[in-house]
Amino acid sequence: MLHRLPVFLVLLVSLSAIYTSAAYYADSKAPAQPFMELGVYANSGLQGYIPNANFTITPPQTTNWTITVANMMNAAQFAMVIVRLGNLTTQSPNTTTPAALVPELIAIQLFLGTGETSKLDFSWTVQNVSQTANGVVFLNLLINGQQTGGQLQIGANEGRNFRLIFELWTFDPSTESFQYGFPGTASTIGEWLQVWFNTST
Amino acid sequence: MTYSRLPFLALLFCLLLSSMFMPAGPITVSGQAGQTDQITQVKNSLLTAFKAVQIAEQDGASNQSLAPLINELNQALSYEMIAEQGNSTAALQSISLSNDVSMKAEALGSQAETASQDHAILAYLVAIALAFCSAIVILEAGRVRRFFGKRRLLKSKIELGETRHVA
Repeated sequence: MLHRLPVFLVLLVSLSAIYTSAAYYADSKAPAQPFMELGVYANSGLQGYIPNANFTITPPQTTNWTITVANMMNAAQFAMVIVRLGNLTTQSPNTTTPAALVPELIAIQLFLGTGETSKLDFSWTVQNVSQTANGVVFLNLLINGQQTGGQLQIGANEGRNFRLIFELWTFDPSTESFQYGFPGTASTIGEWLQVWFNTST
Repeated sequence: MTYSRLPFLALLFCLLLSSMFMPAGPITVSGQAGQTDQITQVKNSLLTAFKAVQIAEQDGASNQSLAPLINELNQALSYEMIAEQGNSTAALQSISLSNDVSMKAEALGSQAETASQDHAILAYLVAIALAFCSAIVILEAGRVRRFFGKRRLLKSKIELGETRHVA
């Protein structure tokens, strides 16, 4: 009888350790790599919207696309999609730097819950174009019903190889400002897309 | 005496004269400055609400319970866009929605925190109770086996083997 109590206590401690570990494991969230996704979709597809493609917009023409933003960051996010207009020589954004020198057409802000994918309407109209004597074409754009500040400073030779650049920005609560991309494990990860098009004069 | 009072009276007269040019009633800011203040207030309310949602999430509030708050935040954001065009009613609606989200998020966060603590305590209590029962079962297994063996023996009929074999 005297030996039974220590044996019982050893058993109780060992089994408690095993069972509480199992309870902790069952109660913990599974590890997952956080990420955000940015997409642009069109009903007719976007296969033709590549450099030197023959996709040509004849003003006035309205194109309806959908921008999607998915939040897999395991936390609610305050995101912003910045749309810029570029041409063939425009410096593209990369995984660390946005195309800050390119004019901003519109900035769409939205809140996203964890695991949520939001769809944003993106309707853009090339109202008219103007061509300079040396053949550079400038656009007059209307985005989601809003004028983008008259004729934009970005032009393209003969109206070829314009591009719309989409950048994803997220709000950083520590600095209380938007940062390009989303926070990764070591640094922020830039997220961007571009769609090429031509315009006829 | 009269000469010494003269500067004091002159000062008093100047003060009275200048008070005539001061605006009557409360001091008001110009329309644009007031609007800027309101927009700043709208943005601050939105950010406070967003932070409250993130804290609620950290406290364990589920995505399903936070989804309506995210929708309200987006609604408040759309009001903010309208407010930026000079609509003060939209600004007030945005602030009201943001404050509502903050309050709901705080309530959800504290509820989730309590529920999560209760859940953890229950899980660990069940684990310890199971460990206790398992320890007893392991320790007393031999005794239980002997007890059932004895019962089986007592219940069994004693047959005389010799008689049976002879028959």
